[in-house]
Amino acid sequence: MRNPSLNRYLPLAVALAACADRDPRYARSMESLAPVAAGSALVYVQPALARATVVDLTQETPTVRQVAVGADPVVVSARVAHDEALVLSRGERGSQGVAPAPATLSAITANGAARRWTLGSPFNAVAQDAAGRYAITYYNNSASAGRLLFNPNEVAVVDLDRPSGAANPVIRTVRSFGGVPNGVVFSPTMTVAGEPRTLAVVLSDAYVTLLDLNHPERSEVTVRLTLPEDARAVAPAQVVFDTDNATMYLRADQSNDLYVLRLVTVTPENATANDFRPALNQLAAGVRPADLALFGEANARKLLVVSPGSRDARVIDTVANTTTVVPLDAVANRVLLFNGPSPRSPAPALRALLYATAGVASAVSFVELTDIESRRSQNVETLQLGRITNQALALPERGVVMFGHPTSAMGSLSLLDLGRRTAAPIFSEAALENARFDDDRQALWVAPQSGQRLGFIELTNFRPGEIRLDAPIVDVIPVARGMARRVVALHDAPDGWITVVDGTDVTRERSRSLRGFLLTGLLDEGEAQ
Amino acid sequence: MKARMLAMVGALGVMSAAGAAEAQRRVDAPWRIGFEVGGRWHHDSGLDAFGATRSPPVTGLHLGRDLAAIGERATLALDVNWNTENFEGRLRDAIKSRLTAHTMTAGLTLRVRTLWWLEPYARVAAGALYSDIDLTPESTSAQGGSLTGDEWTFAGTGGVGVQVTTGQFLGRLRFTAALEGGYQLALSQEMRVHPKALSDEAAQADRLPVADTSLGTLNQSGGYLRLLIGLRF
Repeated sequence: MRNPSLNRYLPLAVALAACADRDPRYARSMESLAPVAAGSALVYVQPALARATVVDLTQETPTVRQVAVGADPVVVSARVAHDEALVLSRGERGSQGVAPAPATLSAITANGAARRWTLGSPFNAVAQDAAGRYAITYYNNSASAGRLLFNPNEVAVVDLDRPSGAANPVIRTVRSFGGVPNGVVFSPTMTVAGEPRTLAVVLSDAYVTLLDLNHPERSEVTVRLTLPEDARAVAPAQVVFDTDNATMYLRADQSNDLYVLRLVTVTPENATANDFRPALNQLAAGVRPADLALFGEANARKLLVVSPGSRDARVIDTVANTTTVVPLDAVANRVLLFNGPSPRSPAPALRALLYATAGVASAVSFVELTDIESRRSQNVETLQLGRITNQALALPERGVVMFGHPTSAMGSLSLLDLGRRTAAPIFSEAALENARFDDDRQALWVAPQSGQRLGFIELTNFRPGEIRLDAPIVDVIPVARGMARRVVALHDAPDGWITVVDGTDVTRERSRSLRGFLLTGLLDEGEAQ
Repeated sequence: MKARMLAMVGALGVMSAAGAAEAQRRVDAPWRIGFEVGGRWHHDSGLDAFGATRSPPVTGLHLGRDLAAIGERATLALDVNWNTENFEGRLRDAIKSRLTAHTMTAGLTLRVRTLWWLEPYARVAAGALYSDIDLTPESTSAQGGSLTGDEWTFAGTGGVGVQVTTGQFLGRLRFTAALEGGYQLALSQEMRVHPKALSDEAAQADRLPVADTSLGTLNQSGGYLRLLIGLRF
C-alpha cells in the first residue's frame, strides 16, 4: 500500500505487523572476493555471509551450489594442480550473542563438497607448494591483525591430502630476528640427506626459515642473511632450487649478492632435530640482480643472472665458483631459458632470452649458452623491437614470447618468435596483464577494461578473434580440465553475472549467460538458520 | 475517508438502539461491494528479503451476493475477492527488492443474524495467489538492470468475522462494515528470476540466452485480519 493516509485507519494492523524481526542475513553485504576457478567450476566467496557459491559449469546448464565456509573469509585461491578452491577464514572473535569461532582453511570442490581444517589463529595469507599438497597459512605483514594479541611469526602447515586432525595442521612459530614473514616459497621435491622431501622457505626481511614439510615435527631452521650488527633489510625475493645438489639460491631485492644455501647432511641429535644444516655462501652478482636461472648438468650447474643496475648478465659456475660477466646492449631484468633453434643453427639447444618488463628497454638479448664463458658477448645477439616493453608472457613450449608495449601506432602487443628471432606486431585494446591463458594454453584471452568484447589469440596459429558479449567485462577466467574448453567472462552485477563462452567455438550462438546466481536459494536462507 | 468512517460509526450507534426491537428483520440488500484493508502475518522468513516487515498492509476489493436464506436467521452468500500486498526494501546493501502478491479468491460466507444489523459469519474461500518480484541493483555502475520473476500458486482462506449494516439511504443503499480474522493457506512457490526484458525488441532479441536463477521457495501462508467497508444494495 503506497498511500500513507490509509495507515491511519489501520492502527491495529500496524501494531500487529511489528511482530517478527527481520532475518539479519538479508541485511548483510553481498560483496564477493574475486572469484577463482576450481576445475570446471567458478567459486565466489561472500565474506559477510560466510559462504561460497560454486557455479559448476560441467553441464550445458550451470549448477549453482552454496557451501558454508568459516567466518570472516579473507582469501580464496585455486588449489594448485587440483580441482579445488581454498578459502582461508579468520574466524569470529566473539561478541554479545555471537560465539567465537576459530580460523579455518576450507577446500571446496566443483560439486560443492568441502573439507575444513581448523587453524586456531586468524592468519590472513596462504601459500601453496607446486604440487598443491601443502599449504602454509601465515600473517601477511601488510594486513591488519584484527586481534588483541597475535604472533606475526606463527604459521600453520596444512597437509591438504590428509584430513584435519591433531597433527594436521602443524602450528609453528618461526624463529624471528625482529622481522615477520613476507612470503613463503616451496621447493620442488628435492633430495636432502638422501631423502626426497619438500621444503618451505619463509622469507623475512633479513633471514629465511626452512621448514621440512615431510617432517613437520622437526624444528625449523632459520638462516640470517646479514651479520647480527647489520640492520639492513635485504628483502629476499626469489629462490631457485637445485634439486640434484640440495642447494638453493636466493636473490634479495636490496642486495647485490646472491645467497647460496647448501643443505649439508648431519646426524640428528634427537627426534625433533633436522638431518641437515644449511651452509651459507655469498656470490657477487653485479648491481641489483633482478632474475636468475639455473642451467647445466647436475655436476656442472651454472647460474645465469641479469643485473639491470650494471647492464650485464653473469654466468656463475657454482662448482668452480667463478663468474663470467657478459655485457648487454639492452638492459634486462628477466631471464627465460628455452630449448630451441636459432637462425644460424636449426638444432635445438638450450638458449636464453634476456628481456625487460619495467618499461626501460626496447630491445631483447638472445644468449647462446654453449661456451658462453669463453665467447662472452660474441654469444649475445640483440634484437630491436622498436618499442619499449613493459609486459611479457612467455610461451617457451610454443617458441614465442608475447610482449606488451605502451599503446603505439605499431600495436600494443608483439609476438617474438624465439627460433626465427622476429617480432610481429599485434594490435590490442587490452593490456597483457589482463590476459588469461587457457588451462591447456591453447589460447590467450583478453578483455579491455569496461569493453563488451572478449578477444582471443589461438596459440596454435596465432590467429586473433573476438566475440561481442552483452555487457562490459571486468575479468576473464578460463575453466577447463576434463571438459570442453570454456571461458567465463565476469560482468559487474552484485547478484552475479557471467557469460560462458565455448572456447572451441567462439560464437554468440554457443555462448550463454547466467545472472543472479549469487542470490540462489535466497528465500530459503532464513529457514536454514 | 475519515468523514465517511465517522458517519458510519454514528449510524451504527443509532441502529443499535433500535435493533433489539427488530432482531428478526432480514435486510433486503443481496449485493455487497466494497474495499478492504488489513494485514497478514506471514511466518516465512524468506519474505525478509523484501523489506523490514513481513506484514505490510493489505488492500483489496470484494463483490458478493446473497445466494440463499437458510432458516430464519442464516444467509449463504457468494463473493469474489481480490487483494494485494506490497513488500519493498533493501537487500544486502546492494539491491532494491520488491515483491507484490495478489490474491484472487471466490468464497462462501454463512452469516447468522443476531440483530437485523449485526451478523457474525464464517467464510471459506479458494483461489490463486500471484507473486511478482523485482530486484534492482542500486549501484549505477552495475550492469544488466533488474531481475524479475513471477509465479502462481493455490491459496485458500478460512475465517470468522462480524458484519454490521446501517439503515437505508439514497434508496436501497446501506453502509456495511465487517471485521474478519482467519488464516490464509498458500502453497509454496518456487521463485525464479531472469533479467527484465528490454523495451527495445530488437535489442532484446539480440541478447544472449540467460539461464533462470531459482531464489528458493516462498510460502505466503499466515493469519490475517481485515476490515471490509462497503455498500449493500
